[in-house]
Amino acid sequence: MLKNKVFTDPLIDNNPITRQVLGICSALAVTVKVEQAIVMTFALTFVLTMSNVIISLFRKYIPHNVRIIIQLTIIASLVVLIDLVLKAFLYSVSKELSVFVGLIITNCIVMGRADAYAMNNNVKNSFIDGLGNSFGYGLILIIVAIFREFFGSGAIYGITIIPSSLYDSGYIDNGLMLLAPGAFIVLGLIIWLQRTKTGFIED
Amino acid sequence: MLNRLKSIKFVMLVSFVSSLLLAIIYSSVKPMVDTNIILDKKQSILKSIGVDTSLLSNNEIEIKYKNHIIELVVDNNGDIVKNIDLSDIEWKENKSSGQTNYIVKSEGELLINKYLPIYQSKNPNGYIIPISGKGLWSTLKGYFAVSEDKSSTLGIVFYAHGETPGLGAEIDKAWFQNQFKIDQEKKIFDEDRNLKSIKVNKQKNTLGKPYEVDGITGATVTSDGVTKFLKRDLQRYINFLRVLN
Amino acid sequence: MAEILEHYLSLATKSIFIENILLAYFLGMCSFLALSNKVETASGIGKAVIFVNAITVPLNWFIKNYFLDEGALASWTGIEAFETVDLSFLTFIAFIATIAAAVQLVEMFLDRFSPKLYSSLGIFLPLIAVNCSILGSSLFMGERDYAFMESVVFGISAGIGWHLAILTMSAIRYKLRYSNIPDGLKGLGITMILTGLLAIAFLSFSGINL
Repeated sequence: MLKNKVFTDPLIDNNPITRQVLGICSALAVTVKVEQAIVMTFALTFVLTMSNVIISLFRKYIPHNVRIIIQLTIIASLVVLIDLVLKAFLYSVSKELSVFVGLIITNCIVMGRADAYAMNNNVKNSFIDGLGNSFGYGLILIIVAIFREFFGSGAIYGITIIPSSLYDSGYIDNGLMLLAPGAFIVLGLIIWLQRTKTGFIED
Repeated sequence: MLNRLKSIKFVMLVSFVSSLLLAIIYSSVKPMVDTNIILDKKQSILKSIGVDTSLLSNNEIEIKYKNHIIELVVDNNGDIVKNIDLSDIEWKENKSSGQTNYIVKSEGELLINKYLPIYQSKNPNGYIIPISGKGLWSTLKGYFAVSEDKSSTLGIVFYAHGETPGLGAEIDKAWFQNQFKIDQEKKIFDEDRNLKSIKVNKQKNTLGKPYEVDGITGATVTSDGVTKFLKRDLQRYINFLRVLN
Repeated sequence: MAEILEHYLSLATKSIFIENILLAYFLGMCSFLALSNKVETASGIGKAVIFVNAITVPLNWFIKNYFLDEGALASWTGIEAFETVDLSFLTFIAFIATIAAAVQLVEMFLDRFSPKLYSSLGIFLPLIAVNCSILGSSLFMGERDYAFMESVVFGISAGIGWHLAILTMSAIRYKLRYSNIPDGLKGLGITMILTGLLAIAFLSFSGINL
């Protein structure tokens, strides 16, 4: 699969966040801590692959002029369904994820890939496209989260890294990193790095 | 025109099917969810006094709850009311303020906030008060526990909220909640028995200050919200809290 | 009368400036970042967002208060059995459905009357439907339990706030055309950093209580 272009494209070259400009809202909200970024990535992978598959299955029957409504209905139903099932069988997990539920329904990546890819491609490729975009998304999310959690709380994945001796001698956590402006700036720098490496220049 | 009719029919079909599907799943799952919610509340009440039930089975949680908690009802004068059960009280959220209204149906009348729910705990001995109010994105709901002296804080727990993970949602984390444990010696009343409540201070310098705890950096609205509604909800029980048995 | 006007005016001011749905709540980022490069495109999508918001928030108010809330169905059908019916689990779907329908309307309108704008918006036209700021406005309306007039004012103001933000960004980017920006930072990169700076500026509003 590592050779499959459908999978590898969205990882870096056509990354949903840094290239397609999708999924930004959640990239700001859930990158305060690495743990959240990982949870969100899993949740998105699950929803994106399933929604891509379902929409691809029915793509020949969906009329073009109402496709937005149909896609959204399918995506929203899927997410609400997952949320209900979690509430019934894994209540503590559903409590943790409840905030993410709303974020996934409106996550532009799910809708964007549904309209741009799943509507025009077969089920197998749509599934792989879903995986690829989720992983590309997760990659950026985790990198941003590592920066924000490290500079904002001195820890990574909850494990304190900056020794207390440094704090005692006057080092203070960068509070701005915990707020959205911090995420923007980190994202901007990552994009700079990525584009310098791939040589892509926007007009 | 025909095309448009076909599209509309398709949309209605898909909407109908998905609503039906969701409705079926919702109704079959609802009893399980309701049980989970009640159990989760009991776990939260136990957690507020420091009893950890995370690894226990449902039955074990029920047993612990029966062993530690007595459900009581008090009126506005602070007297314990014997003829009304806690289960008779309906909890309705006031959407704009986040406060919970307690409604009791008595002789065809609706009595609002005349009778308040409260939990008495054994081992550790204390009282647990339900609290609720607005954060940044959502209404926070939880329990606040004080010990027998009705002043020293035992603990705080939130069982429902929709705050930002890593920011407002830090109220769920041990570092925040541990500040309310008995060893931190936080109090809600001063020596003259005036209600000071607990202020969630944005600055992280509240060690040793009995009426303040450290807040959450970057989560001002959530922290301020907790300060406000904690005091507001404690104020409701003021007559009960002022009296020392 | 003056008091009522003041109430709505302060709600509008709050929603446009102090609690700007994009710069304070960070909703609606994707379209904001992607479409702020040209002033015409930014203005076009901004107007579309105002339109969609202005219709959907009041419409969703109806749906919430007459269909979804517990006992809502009973209030107008008069059927007692509906007193305990709580359909709030359908909130997401119902809200999104109205939004999607409104967006579909906008798409048909643009396709017919302004094909240039239609093509420059590209994939982001259907993406208005998942624009978190539009769903967010409806969800805020529900969370804060606004009355009908309040939801009308809020819907329009939140849209105006979003439009203001994207217009500002497009104006800044327009001025940046002649700046010496490193290659990798051109376009999206510098926009991110700019948004960060704008967001810091709007943080200064956060203490104001209207």
